[in-house]
Amino acid sequence: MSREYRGVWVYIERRGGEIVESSLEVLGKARELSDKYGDSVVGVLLGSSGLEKLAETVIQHGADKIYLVEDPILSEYSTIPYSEALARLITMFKPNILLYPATRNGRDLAGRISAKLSLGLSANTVWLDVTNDGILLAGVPGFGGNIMAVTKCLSKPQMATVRPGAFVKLSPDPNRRGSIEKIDVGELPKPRVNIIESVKIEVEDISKAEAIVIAGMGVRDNVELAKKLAEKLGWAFGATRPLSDEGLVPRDIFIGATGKTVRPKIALIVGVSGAAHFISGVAGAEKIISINIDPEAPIHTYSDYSVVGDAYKILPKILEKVG
Amino acid sequence: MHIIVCMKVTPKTEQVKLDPVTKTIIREGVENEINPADKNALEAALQLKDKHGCKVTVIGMGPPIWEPYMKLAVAMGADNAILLSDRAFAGADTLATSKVLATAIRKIGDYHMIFCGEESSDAGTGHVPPSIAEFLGIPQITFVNMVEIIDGRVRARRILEGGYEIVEANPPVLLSIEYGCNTPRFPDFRRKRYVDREFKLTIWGLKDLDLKEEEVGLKGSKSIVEELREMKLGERAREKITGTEDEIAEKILKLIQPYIKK
Ligand SMILES: Cc1cc2nc3c(=O)[nH]c(=O)nc-3n(C[C@H](O)[C@H](O)[C@H](O)COP(=O)(O)OP(=O)(O)OC[C@H]3O[C@@H](n4cnc5c(N)ncnc54)[C@H](O)[C@@H]3O)c2cc1C
Repeated sequence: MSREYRGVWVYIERRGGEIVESSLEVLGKARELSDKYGDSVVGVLLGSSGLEKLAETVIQHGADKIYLVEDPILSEYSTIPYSEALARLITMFKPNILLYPATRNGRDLAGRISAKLSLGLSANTVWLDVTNDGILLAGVPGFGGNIMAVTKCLSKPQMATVRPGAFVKLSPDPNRRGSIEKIDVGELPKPRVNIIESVKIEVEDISKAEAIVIAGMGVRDNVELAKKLAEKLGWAFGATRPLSDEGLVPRDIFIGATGKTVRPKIALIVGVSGAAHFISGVAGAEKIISINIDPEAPIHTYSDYSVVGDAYKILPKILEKVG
Repeated sequence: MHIIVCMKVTPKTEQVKLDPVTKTIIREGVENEINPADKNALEAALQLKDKHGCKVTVIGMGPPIWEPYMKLAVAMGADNAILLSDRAFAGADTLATSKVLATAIRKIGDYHMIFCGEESSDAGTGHVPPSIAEFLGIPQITFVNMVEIIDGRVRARRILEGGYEIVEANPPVLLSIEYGCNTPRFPDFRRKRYVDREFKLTIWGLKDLDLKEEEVGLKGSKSIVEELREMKLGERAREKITGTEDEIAEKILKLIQPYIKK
C-alpha cells in the first residue's frame, strides 16, 4: 500500500457548540473501514474556540486523533474560509480517505474541495467498503435510489459524502484515548456571503421514530387529520417532499432521497404515490401499511398491507376507534 | 443583470430500469425531461427577469439530442441557450463536468449570477454547483428557495437542516436552487414560434473552449463507476385489506394496536 497517504479522515460538522449527529455516524463507519485495512481515524474540527470538549466526544465515538483549526473567522460555517482551511489541512497531512456527512453544509463544502484540489468525490453514499490496500469503494444511489453505482476515486484523498442515517454511530466509550492537535493553517480568507439572519426551527427528530404516520399530497386538503392520528397513537409524523414544498408541513419532517431516512417498526403511509425519491427513505421500515385511492399507485407494491381507498374517509374511522 | 442557468436533461426517474444481465441502464423507451430542479432554477431566473429585466442565458453540457430541451428553455423565456457538446465531453464525473461548464461561463464573461438546480434527479450529487463556483473563484449560496435582488446585492434564503439562513452576497455569485420551490411556467406561445422559426442554438465543442482533451470527459474524471447494482427498494407482500371503510379501519387498527403508545 502507498504509505504516502494515510488516515481515514472525517469532517466533523458542528453547529454552534454541538456536533451534528450524522458526523458521528460517519465516524463509526470510518472506524470500521480503518480497522479493516490497518489505518487510523482522524476527526477534523473547525471553529473559533473551545473545540477541545467537542474533540473529546469525537474521540469517544471512535477517533484516534483530532485536528483542530481555531480562528475567529471559522465561528460559523461559511464556504470560503472553511474550504480554504480544510484544503490546507489536506495538503499538509495527505489523508488516504476523507468522508463528510452529506448534510447541506457537508455537500456545500465537499463539492468546493473537489474542484479546489481536483479530487474525485462520491456523493450521498449509502454503502462503503475498503480493500486491503486502502482503496475505497463507495455506493452512490442514483435515480432516487433505484440503482446504486459502486464508485472508486482515482485521486487521493479518496472522498465521499455519506447519507445521514446510512450508518449508526458507535456508543461512546469514555475510556477511549486519542490525541488532539491544534493546527495553524495561516491566515484565512474572509466569508464572501454574509449571514443576515439564522433561524432555527425546532422539530421532533423523526429519524429514530419507532412508529410513524406519513402523509402525502393525497391528503393535502386535510393534513391535520393524519397529524391528529399520529398524535393520538403516540407516533411520529412525517410527510413527502411536495407537502413540505407547499409549506403545509415543516421542512425537516419530509422523508426520502433528499430528506430524512426512517427505520420504524411500523409506518402508516397515507396519500403517497410511492416515487423512488420517497421510497428510498422508508425502505428500512419493518412493516408498511398504506392507503391510496389509486389501485395503480406504486406505493402498494412497497407495502406489507395495502388499502385501495379514500384516506379522508378511512382516517376518521381509525381515529374514532382509537378513542 | 445577466443570469446564467446551468441545465441538464435527465431520464424520467420512474421509467429507469437496470438490465439484470448487462447491469447497464435500459435507455430505450425512456422519456427525458429538463432536470426538475434545473427547471425551478430557470423559473427563479425568469421571475427575476420579469421583475428587473435581467438577461437569462441557459447552458448545458450534453449530446445534440438535448437541443429541443435547450429550445424549450428559450420558449419559456430565456434569452439565449448554449449547448456544450463534444464527444470528448462524454463520461464526465462531476469534476470534469463542472470544469467544462465553468470554462464556458468564463467565455460568456459578463455574468452576475449563476443558477443551478440543487441536484440532478439521476445522479443526485449536488456537487456541480459548488465545483463551478470554485473554478470561477466566486462565492456560492447552495440550497436556496427564495432569491431577491436588493440594491444590486443578492439576498437569498438558504434551507438547512433544522432551519434556514437569510444571506447576502455581492455579484458575481452562484446559487443552487431547491427543487419544488416554485412552479415552472409553460412555454409562451409567441416565444415558441420565435424558437421554431428564428432562434438558432449555439453549440460549442472542445475547440471553442480553452481546455485540453485530458481535462474533460472520462479522461478528466477523478472518479469512476465500477458497477451498477439494482437497489432492493423493498417490494413487499402487498396483502390487500378490503371491506367497507369501517371494516378497513378495524383491520388497520388490529395491525397497529401493538404499537400504540399511551
Ligand atoms: C431531485 C429530486 C429529489 C426528490 N426528493 C424527494 C424526497 O426526498 N422525498 C419525497 O417525498 N419526494 C422527493 N421528490 C419528489 C418525488 O419524485 C415525488 O414527486 C413525491 O414523492 C410525490 O409525493 P406524494 O406521493 O406526496 O404526491 P403525489 O405523487 O402527488 O401522490 C399523491 C397520491 O395520493 C393519492 N391520493 C389522492 N387522493 C387520495 C385520497 N383521498 N386518499 C388516498 N390517497 C389519495 C394519489 O392516488 C397519489 O398516488 C424528489 C424529486 C426530485 C426530482
